[in-house]
Amino acid sequence: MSKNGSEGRKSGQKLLYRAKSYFSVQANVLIVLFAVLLLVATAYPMFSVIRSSLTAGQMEAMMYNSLFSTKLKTGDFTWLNFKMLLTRGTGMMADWSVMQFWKPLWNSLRMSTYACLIAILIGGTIAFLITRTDIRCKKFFSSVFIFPYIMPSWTLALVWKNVFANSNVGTGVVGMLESLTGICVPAWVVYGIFPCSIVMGIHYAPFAYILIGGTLRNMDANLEEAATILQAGRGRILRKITIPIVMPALFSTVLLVFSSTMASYAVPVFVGSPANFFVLSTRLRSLYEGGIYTGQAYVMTIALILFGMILLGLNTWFTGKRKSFTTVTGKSGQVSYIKIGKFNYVITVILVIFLFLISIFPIISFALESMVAKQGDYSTLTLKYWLSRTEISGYAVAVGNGILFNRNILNALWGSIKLSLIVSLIVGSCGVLIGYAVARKRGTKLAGLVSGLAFFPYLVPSMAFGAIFLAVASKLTFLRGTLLLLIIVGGIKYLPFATRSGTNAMMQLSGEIEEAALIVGASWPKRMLRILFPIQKSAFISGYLLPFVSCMRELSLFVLLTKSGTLITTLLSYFDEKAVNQMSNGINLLIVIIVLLVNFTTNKLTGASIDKGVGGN
Amino acid sequence: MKKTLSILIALTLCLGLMLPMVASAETDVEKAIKEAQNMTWDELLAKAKEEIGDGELGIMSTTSRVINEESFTKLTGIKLAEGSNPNDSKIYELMEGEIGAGLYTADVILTQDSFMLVNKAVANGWVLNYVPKGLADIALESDLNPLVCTYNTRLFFYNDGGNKEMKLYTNVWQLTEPEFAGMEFKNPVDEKTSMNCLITMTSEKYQAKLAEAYKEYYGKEWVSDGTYMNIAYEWIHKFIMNCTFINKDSTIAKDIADGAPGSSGLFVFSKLRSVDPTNITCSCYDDIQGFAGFLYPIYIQIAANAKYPYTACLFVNYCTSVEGYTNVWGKDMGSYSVNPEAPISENAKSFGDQPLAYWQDCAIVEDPVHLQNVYAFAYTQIAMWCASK
Repeated sequence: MSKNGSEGRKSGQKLLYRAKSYFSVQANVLIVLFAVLLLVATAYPMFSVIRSSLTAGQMEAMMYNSLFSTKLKTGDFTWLNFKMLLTRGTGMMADWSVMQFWKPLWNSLRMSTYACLIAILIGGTIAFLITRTDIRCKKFFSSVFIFPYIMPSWTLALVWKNVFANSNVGTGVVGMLESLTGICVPAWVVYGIFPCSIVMGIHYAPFAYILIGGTLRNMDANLEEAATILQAGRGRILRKITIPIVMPALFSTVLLVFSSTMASYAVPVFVGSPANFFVLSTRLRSLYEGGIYTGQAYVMTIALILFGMILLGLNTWFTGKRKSFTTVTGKSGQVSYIKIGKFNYVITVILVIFLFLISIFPIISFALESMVAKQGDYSTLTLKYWLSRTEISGYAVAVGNGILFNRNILNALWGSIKLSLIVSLIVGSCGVLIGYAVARKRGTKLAGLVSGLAFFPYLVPSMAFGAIFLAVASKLTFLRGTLLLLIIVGGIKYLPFATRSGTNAMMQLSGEIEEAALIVGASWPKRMLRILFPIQKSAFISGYLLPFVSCMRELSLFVLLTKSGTLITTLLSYFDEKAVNQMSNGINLLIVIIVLLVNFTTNKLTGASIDKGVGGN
Repeated sequence: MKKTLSILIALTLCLGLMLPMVASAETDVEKAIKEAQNMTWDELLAKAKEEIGDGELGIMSTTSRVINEESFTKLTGIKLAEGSNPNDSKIYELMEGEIGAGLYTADVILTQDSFMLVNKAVANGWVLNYVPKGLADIALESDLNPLVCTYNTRLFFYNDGGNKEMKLYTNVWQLTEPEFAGMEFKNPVDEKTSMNCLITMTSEKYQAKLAEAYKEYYGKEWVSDGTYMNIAYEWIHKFIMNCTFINKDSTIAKDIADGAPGSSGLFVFSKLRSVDPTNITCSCYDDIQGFAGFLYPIYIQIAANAKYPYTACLFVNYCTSVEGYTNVWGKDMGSYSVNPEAPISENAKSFGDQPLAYWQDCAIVEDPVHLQNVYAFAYTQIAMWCASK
């Protein structure tokens, strides 16, 4: 008995010793801490989505009882949401699943694939040109290329429509291209999958640019130099060295762009629906907001999450399979630029024109539209919508003073800035820590779990996410209508941005760098703050800036949780809905300016910024 | 043992008898509504002022017009809290998430969609009905429970290119023909008032109107070939397949105003405020056989857990009074008070607007009773057609 007791004590001590030893490593503490936090933060939304898909809502019970002669009561368990949406029915319902789910799903997959290809092609090419060649105007290209991501995607769709609409399409509204050149593009250019893919591709190209560019910039030049010495051609170097090294960034881009495009609603509605091009997200929103078949909307949410998880799984499998993606070894600071010689001028001019069209032109358009008294008539330009100190009349609703003297707009703007700053600070810091923990514990199940969980919120459509947290707030009433609730929701939703950039950056860092610091006795905070963070500053800063940008222009996520005057985007949506075009265009411009100012200030204070992070200096 | 058992049974029976009494006990809000129904404006104003003090009345409304409305404050001295103006689906979601959970969200709620109002908000007891003293004597009985605040119109419009003699279409069946393909319309699955009016069309009253228009246009009686349940379904299906779905009424109004002559759409009348109406013609009763568009109600209800029920009742009195309608809705076209004494404005008339009775005669009027009977089949069928475009 006493022998057993002593053995038990010994094994207890052994366990305690093991635990002590395990938690003496900072990466282990972090990975366990975040695993617990993320499980709590993601389990409820997931549980909520699954439960809603498997229960009959009040309206669904009424509908199913009437259509299928069931005897469902509100809250009863049912497979009917899945059955009706995913399987072929009979009679009137024969094509319900095809029309509501399978066809829109196919359209979503096509649109997302094209958007990914376009984003990688544009973003990757520009990142390569800026970081690896001697092209001119790098600073300009680098600065303006992030604009399309700063602007809400639907505003780009609106600009597209305003440019390409013509007398042969729809009601025959004459767009800018036709009025300037007389050219009428075919209807498929104006509406349908083509503009949807292009607009989404352009909107998310800065993702590819930031992620791929960050890797290219930090790439060890010795690798390419060694290949050059061995007389490998440029194409071979690109295929065998450059592309494999940017693979993690490429996968992250595909993951982010594909998931975002699958869940995007506004662009397909603006330039897709008029050509009867419907995608899963538009169907999801219709069913969800219709309030009748909401359970089926949750089934669609699960489908979107599943697609994201498959991509995430592929990403994890790929990054786990490769032994190392280390590009920063601390051994080389040299970057050799490819000389593009006589093509330099031509490529520069093409890029200037291209970037003007996708980045500058929409901003000019917002500015002009915010200053014309009569839409489309540029002889009525006035500054009153910006500078009037008295109530502006002529609208169906009260709008108040000019934008710069409008108390409601300024309050909402401050609300958004405050929220975005807090969210980005929290999320960015968590991203660095998660990145560190995942990179150091790479290959372990816990690292895979944390990496997956941190990405999970990205896969849940914003709309559903907002509704889930409205339900949370009705239970935790102290959160209702507070900034804290918005911070929690925004923080969880945007964690994937910071985690992706944090993990990518940490994955590139060779363990030898930290080991060297450890040998000379540097403490963990010192190693993080004085060594690791400064080396990958650009990538980490983008982990702070991306949540800031996303939060500044987010609408669907917050719309249920706050009033229309709290945030600038909810106010923008209000003005847009009420057709107060000058104000909505002006607010759009304000959002772009604020984000650029934050980027500029960050650059001045820290020496880093989104664009500089990929070699704009 | 027997004694204990009989005491327990007696206690259970007593409790059983008392429970319905507890369940039917009047809440403070119900009590206030009952009292307010018999109060004059001045009596209710005094009671409301006493109740609210320095507090603010909360309004949640699908229409932006009542949000932050200053005329009520000017008249009564009672302040309104910063209003919230979500769309209908969000209003029902907020009611379910907040009032349903016993949490305050607003005192007064203005919302559309009679089917959801009756089957969700009223059925779950999230809102209570209140009819101001005197209104019951002059308004239609069908508009009193739940109380309609105003009616709104969604009408057929087309671009006439400045030619006011132009008659683009004269019969609703023309709108199902290929030459009118591309008429802009908000997807009824996303716009429940349109969905409800389409479902209402399947009632016998509107089937008869459609049959009459069919005979006039095609020169023969409509005979079922078994494809459609009735004539209304045929019109709805063909019309939907002929339409282009645009996500906002204001965009449709703009597209028609800036578009080519002959372009047409079905949109909310009041959106004409946001565009240059010079080239737009409203195809109303005289021009089009069948119907001129849709007429749908905006209901005004008191939240079951209102903080200031007397003040909420006072606000309902104001909104349904001649003065309230004139100040809040009367300036523009497209909204009509449930109070027959409240006239539409001269400005509205200048846009060709007509009184409520006119639209009740020539438009499809959302009918909550018919909706209740056919909703499941009709909604699913129409949603199916909308998806199959």
